[in-house]
Amino acid sequence: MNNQYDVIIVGGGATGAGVARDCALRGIRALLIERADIATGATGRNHGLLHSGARYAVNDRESAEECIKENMILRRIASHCVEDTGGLFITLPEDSLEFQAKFIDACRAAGIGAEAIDPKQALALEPSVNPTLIGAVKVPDGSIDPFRLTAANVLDAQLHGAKVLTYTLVEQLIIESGKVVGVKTLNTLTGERGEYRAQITVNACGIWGRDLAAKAGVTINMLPAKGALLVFGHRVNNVVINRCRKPADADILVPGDSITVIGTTSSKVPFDQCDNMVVTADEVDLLLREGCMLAPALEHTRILRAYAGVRPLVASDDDPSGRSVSRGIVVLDHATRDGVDGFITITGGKLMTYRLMAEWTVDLICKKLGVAVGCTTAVAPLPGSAEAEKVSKSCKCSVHCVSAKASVENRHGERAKDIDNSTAAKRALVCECEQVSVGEVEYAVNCLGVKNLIDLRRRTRVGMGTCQGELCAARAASVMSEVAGKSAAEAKADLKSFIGERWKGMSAVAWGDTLREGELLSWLYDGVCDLSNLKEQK
Amino acid sequence: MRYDTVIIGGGLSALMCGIELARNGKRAALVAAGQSTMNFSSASFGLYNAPEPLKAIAQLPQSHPYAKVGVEQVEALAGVATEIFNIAGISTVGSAERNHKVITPVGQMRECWLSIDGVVSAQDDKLDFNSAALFVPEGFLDIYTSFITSALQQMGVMTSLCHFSLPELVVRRNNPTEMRSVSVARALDKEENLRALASIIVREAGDAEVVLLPATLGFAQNDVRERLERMTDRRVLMIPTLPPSVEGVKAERALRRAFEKMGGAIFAGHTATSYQTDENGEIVSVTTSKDVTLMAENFVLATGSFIGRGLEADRQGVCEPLFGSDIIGATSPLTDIDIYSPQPFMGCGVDVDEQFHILKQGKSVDNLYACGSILGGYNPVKEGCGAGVAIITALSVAQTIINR
Amino acid sequence: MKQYSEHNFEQCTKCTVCTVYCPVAAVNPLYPGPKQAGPDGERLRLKGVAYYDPAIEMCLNCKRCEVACPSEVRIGDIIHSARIKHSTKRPGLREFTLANTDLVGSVATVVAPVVNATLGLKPVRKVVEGVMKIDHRRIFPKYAFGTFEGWLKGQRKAQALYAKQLAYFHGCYVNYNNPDLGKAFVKVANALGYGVQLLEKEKCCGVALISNGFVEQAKKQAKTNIKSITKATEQKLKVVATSSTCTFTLRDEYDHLLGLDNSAIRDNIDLATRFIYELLADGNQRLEFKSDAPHLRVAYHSACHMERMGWTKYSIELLKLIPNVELVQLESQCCGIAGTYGFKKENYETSQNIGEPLFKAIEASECDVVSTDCETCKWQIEMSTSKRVLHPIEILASYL
Repeated sequence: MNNQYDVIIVGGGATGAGVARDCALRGIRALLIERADIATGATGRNHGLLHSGARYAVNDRESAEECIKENMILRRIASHCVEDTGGLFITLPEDSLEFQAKFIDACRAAGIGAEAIDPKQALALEPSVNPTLIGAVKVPDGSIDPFRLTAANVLDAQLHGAKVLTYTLVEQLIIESGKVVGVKTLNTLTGERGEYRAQITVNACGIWGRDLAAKAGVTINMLPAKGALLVFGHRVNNVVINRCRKPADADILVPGDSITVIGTTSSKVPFDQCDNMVVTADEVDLLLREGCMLAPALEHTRILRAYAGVRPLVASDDDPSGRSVSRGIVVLDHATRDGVDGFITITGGKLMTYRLMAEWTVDLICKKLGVAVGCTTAVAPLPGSAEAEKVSKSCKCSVHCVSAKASVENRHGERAKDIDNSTAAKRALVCECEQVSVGEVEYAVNCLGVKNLIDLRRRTRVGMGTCQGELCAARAASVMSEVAGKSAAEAKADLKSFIGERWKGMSAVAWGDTLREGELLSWLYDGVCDLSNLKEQK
Repeated sequence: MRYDTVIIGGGLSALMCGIELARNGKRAALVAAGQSTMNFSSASFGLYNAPEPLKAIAQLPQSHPYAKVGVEQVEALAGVATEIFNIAGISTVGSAERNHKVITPVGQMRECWLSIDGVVSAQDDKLDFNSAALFVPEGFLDIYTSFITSALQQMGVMTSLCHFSLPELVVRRNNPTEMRSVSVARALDKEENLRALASIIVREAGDAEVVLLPATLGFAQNDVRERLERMTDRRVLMIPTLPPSVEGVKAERALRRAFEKMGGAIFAGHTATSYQTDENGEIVSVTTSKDVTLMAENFVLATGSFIGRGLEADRQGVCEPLFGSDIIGATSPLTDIDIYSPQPFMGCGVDVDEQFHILKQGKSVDNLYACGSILGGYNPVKEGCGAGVAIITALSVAQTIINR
Repeated sequence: MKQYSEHNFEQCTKCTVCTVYCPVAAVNPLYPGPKQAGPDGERLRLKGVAYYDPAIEMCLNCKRCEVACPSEVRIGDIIHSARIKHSTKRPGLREFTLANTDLVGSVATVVAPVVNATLGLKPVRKVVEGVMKIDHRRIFPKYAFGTFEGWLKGQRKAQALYAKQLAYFHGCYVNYNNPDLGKAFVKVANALGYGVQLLEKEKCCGVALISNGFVEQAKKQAKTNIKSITKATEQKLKVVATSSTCTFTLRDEYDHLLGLDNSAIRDNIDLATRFIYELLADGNQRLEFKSDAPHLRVAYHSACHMERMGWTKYSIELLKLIPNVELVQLESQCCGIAGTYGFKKENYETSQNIGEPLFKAIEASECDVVSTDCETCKWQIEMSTSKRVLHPIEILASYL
C-alpha cells in the first residue's frame, strides 16, 4: 500500500524535520506532514541564536550542558546554517559584577568556554556594543538560520526516502482498538483528502501539539508564551551581544545573515491567539529600550519588521512569565502515560536541541519498532554542509556578480552547485536586496518544496531585505508562476497575500524610513497595480 | 537669489504650479530634493475613483482638498492641466467628465482620468481590439507576462506571446540587475535596434490587430512608438511597468523642460532646510542643504508626503519638518495591519485654509501655501486621486498667487 | 525629531531612480549600477569582504545618483568609501602620473614647449598608450610655460594695495596648464576691489589621488590644505576657487571620503562665480562692462560636481549679467571624462559614449563658445566637439 509508513510525523518545524531525517537515516520509512510550510511555527520565529548555553548556565545547568554539546555538533553538521560569530555577555553599570563571577563559574561547570575580557577589548571586538559597559565575558555563541536548518533536514530526509507533505492538515487521528494507526488529512491547497497509516505517529506540533493530542483523547498541559522580536535593517553587530544578568526580556542581540535581531519579550497568551501573533506597541517599546542598552546604535537603525513566536512550554508550574519553566526536552510516550499506543509527543526543548529531541524520539521509535540502528545525526553533515571549506573553490555555480555568488553559496553551501545559474537569464536577480536569482527560485521550487512566495522567502530570503519585497515581489510572483506552473490568477493572489504578509510585520514599526517604504508599497501594490480589487479566485 | 515664487518640491504638483506661474510671467524656482514620485507612476493620472469623477467630487466633505477648490473650479483646472501637458509635449487621452480604464502592470483594469497616449486603455472593461501580439524582451523581469496575457484573454482578446532578443539586450542581460525598463528603452532609442525589432514584429505578429510591448519605447526620444507603428504598419500599445517607469520619467522630464523653457529655475538635489521670516511672520526666504538662500514674495510647499519627506513620522507622531506646519489626520496608530485597508497615515497632511495657506498654530501664513500630497484629509490610494489632487491644488494655488 | 536612520545607506527605499540617471550604467552594461554598487552592496558588504564586487570600481564618482536620490542617500560616497576600504587594485605608474597633477605639472611647466609638442605627436601617444594604458586618442591638456603661482608672486605688491583681500585656491590646472584663467580671476577680483593672495601653502586638492587609489597621500595633502585654509580663515580671508571640482573636494570629499574634519573652514571656501554673483546681487558692488563688447552666444555646461554642489545657477546668473552674452543652458549631463577616468585606455569608449549626447547638444546649440566651471570637462568637450571652452570667469574678464 502506498500510504503505509513506519512512522508519521506531524509538524514540520525543526523538531519534526529532525525526527524525519533521523528516521530516514536509520532506514525507517517516515512521512512528515505539515499543515503549512516548514518552519512556520516557533522554529522560524526566534532569534536564530546558536546558544552556547551560557544563558542557562546559572539557572538551568542541564539545558546549558545540552546547548553547548549541540552547539558543537551543529557547527559540524550544519556549517552552512551556522555563523561562528562568538558572543559577549556584557555587564552594564546597573548590573552586578558579582553576577558575572557566578556566571563564569557556572559556565565553566557546564563545559562552556567563558572568558572575562576587558571592556576595552570588548569594544574592539564589537564596536557597536554599549561603550558604558563595565564587564564582558566571551562565550562561544553564534547564529543559526532556522529556515535553512529545517530545509536541510527535510531535504536530507527526502534524499533518504522520507516523504514530505506540506499544506496538509491532520484532521483526524485514526484510532483502532485504542491504538493510533494513522491520520486523515486535508490538502489545504487542493482540497484533496487523504489517509495515511503507520505504526507510530509522532506529535511534533509545538504549541499546536495540545490540539493533536486532544484528537487522541490525551491531555497535555501547555503554556503558550509569546516572544516578540524586532528585525533591524542590516548587521549592526557581528558578535552576539547578551546582558550578563538573570535572563530577562530583550537582552539578546543576534546578527543573522544580512540583518540583526533583538528579542525577546515574554508574555502568556491564550491558545486562540497562537495562530495570529501581533506585536504590540508596548512590546516594540520594550524591545527598543532594552536593545539600545546592548547597542546604542539601534536607536537610529531602521527597523524592518516585528514578529512574534510562541514557545511550546510544557507547564510544570504556574509561573505566568513562562521563564523559569525548564526548557528541558519532554518526550511523552502516550502508551505508558495515557494508555494510547502508537502515539508519541515530542515537545519542550528549544531550537538548539532539536537534533537531540529527534534522537531521543527516534530512539524510542526504534525500541518500539525493534529497529537496532544507532543515531548518526550528530556526525552526518546536512546537505549543504558537506566539505564546507571547499565550497567556494569547487562550486560550479557560475554567477556573474560577486555578491550574488557569495550570497547563494552562503545560503545553500555546497548544494549551490545544483542551482542552475548557467545562463544570463537564470543569473538575473529577482530580489536585489538579498541577491536571489531566477535560477535559485527555480531550484527552491523544484527541490525545496516551495509552494508560494512566502515559502520562497523562507528558502531564499526573497523579500527579506531592506525593501521587504517592494521591488521584487511582482517579479518573484511572475517567475514563480512560470516555474511552478501556477495560473495567473493563483500567482496574483499569492502576490497579494505576500505583500499583505510583509506589511503585517512592517506596520508595527512603521515610522521613519519604514513608513516611507510602506507608503511606497501601498502606492505600488494597492494603487498602481490595484491589487486590493483583485477578485477572489477559487 | 530672488524669485517671485519659490516652490519647495520637484514633483507633479510643484511642476504644475511652477509652469502655471511661469507661463503667467512669474519668476518661479523649484527646490527639488531628488527625482520625484512621478518616476514611479505608471503613466496615468487619476482624478477620482468613480465612473464620473466630477459628480463624486461634488459630494466630498469640506475637509477634502477638492472641496476647498470647488467642483466647478476642479473641472476648469482639469482643463488647464490637459493644456499644460500638451504644451509640455505629453500627449494624453481621457477626460474629467468620465473616467476610462488603463491596464496595470499586473493586468488589472483601473479607473483613470488621463493616461499617456499609447498605454493599453479602455472605456469600461472592453478593449477596442480583439487580437494582440505581446512582445517581451528575453530575460526582462519587469513585465509580468502571464498576468498580462491572462487579463487580456479574460477581456476577450486573443493574445499571442513572442519573446524577442536583440544583441544589445543580450549584453544587458549579462548584468544580473541592470536590465531595467530604462535600459530596454535606451536600446530602442537606437534606429538599428528599432528596425530589428520592427522586422521581428512583422515576422512574428501574424494577423494580430495590435502589437503590445512593455512601456519601454524610447528613453531619450519621444516618438519611438509612432515610428515603430509606421515601420510595422500596426497599432503599437504599451503595458506599464513598475518603477522606475519610463513613461513616468519621460513625463517628469517633459514638465521640467517646459518649466525651464518658460524661464523657471530648478534647484536639483537641494533640500530646503530652514526659512527666515519678517516681523509679520511672513516668509522671506528659504535656505537649502546646499547653502543657497532663495528669496521670494510667495512660497509654496509641495514636498509630498512621507515618501518625498514632506512629512516625517517618528514614534511620537507626525510633523512637517521645514515650517512646522499644523498637521491634520495624525491618528494613532498610523497604520492598519491590513495593507489593503485604508491606511490612516495616508490621510495625514498639513493643515491649510480655504486658499491653501498653511496654518501654523492655527493661524494662516499669508504668503505660504501648500499643494499636492503634503495636504491631508484624503486618501490618494483608495480614492485614486493622488495625481488629481497634486495637479488641481497646484493650479489652484498658482492662480491665487497670480491674482494676488 | 530623529526620524531617519543614521546609517545613510538604509534611507534607500529601493525606488531605483538612481539607476536612471547614472551615466555609466547607461552606456556600460557591465557596471552594477548605483543602487547595487551603493546601498544594496553596502548592506551586503557588512557580511564580509567576499561580498565586495570589484565591478563597482567602474563608478566614475560623478555623483549624479546623489542628485537624483529622493532619500538623500550619499550613493557615490558609499561606493567610493567601499572602494577605498576594499579595493585590492594597486595603483601603477599610470595612476601615479595622472594623480600627481602637481608633481608632474611642476616638471612639465619648466619644459612646456617640449612636453606639449611631444605629447601632441601621434607616435608618442601610441607609446603612452602601450606603456601607460592611456588611450592614444586622448588629447592631453597643454602645459603652460611658467606657473600661475610664479606670476602672482610677481604681482604681490600690486595686489597688496587693495583694501579688501581674498585667498585664491587656484588648483593645479590654473597653475600649470592655464594661468590665464587665474589672471582673469585676478582681473575680476581687482575690479571688485579685492586683492588676490595665495594660500600660505597650496597642495593639489587631491581629487585625482582619491580616484586613483592614493588615499594616504590625498589625506596628507588635504591636511596641508586644511591647515592653510584655517590660517586664511583666521585672518578673515575668504578662500575662493575657480575650479568646481577643487571646491567640491575641499568642501565635501575631505569629510565624506577622507574622513577629515573640515567643518570649521567649509563655509569659508567659495566658488568664484558664486562669490562674485553674491557680491553683485547685494547691489553694493558693480562691474563696469565694456560698452563695445561683441555679441557672444554661450552654451553653459553644468559639470557633475557643480551639479552635486548645487551651484550651477550662480554661474548661469553671473553670465546672464554680462551685456551682449546670450546664454543657452545645456541640459545637465555628464561629459564622460570624470577627471582622470576618461584618460585610461579601458575607459575611453565608455567615456566618449557617456559624453555623446552632450557633444551632440553642444553642436546643435549653435553657440560661439561653451562655458563650464570644470577644467576636465573643458578638455573633454574641446577634444570631442568643434567648440572652444571658456570658464565663466574668463568670459566675464574679457568683457571688463
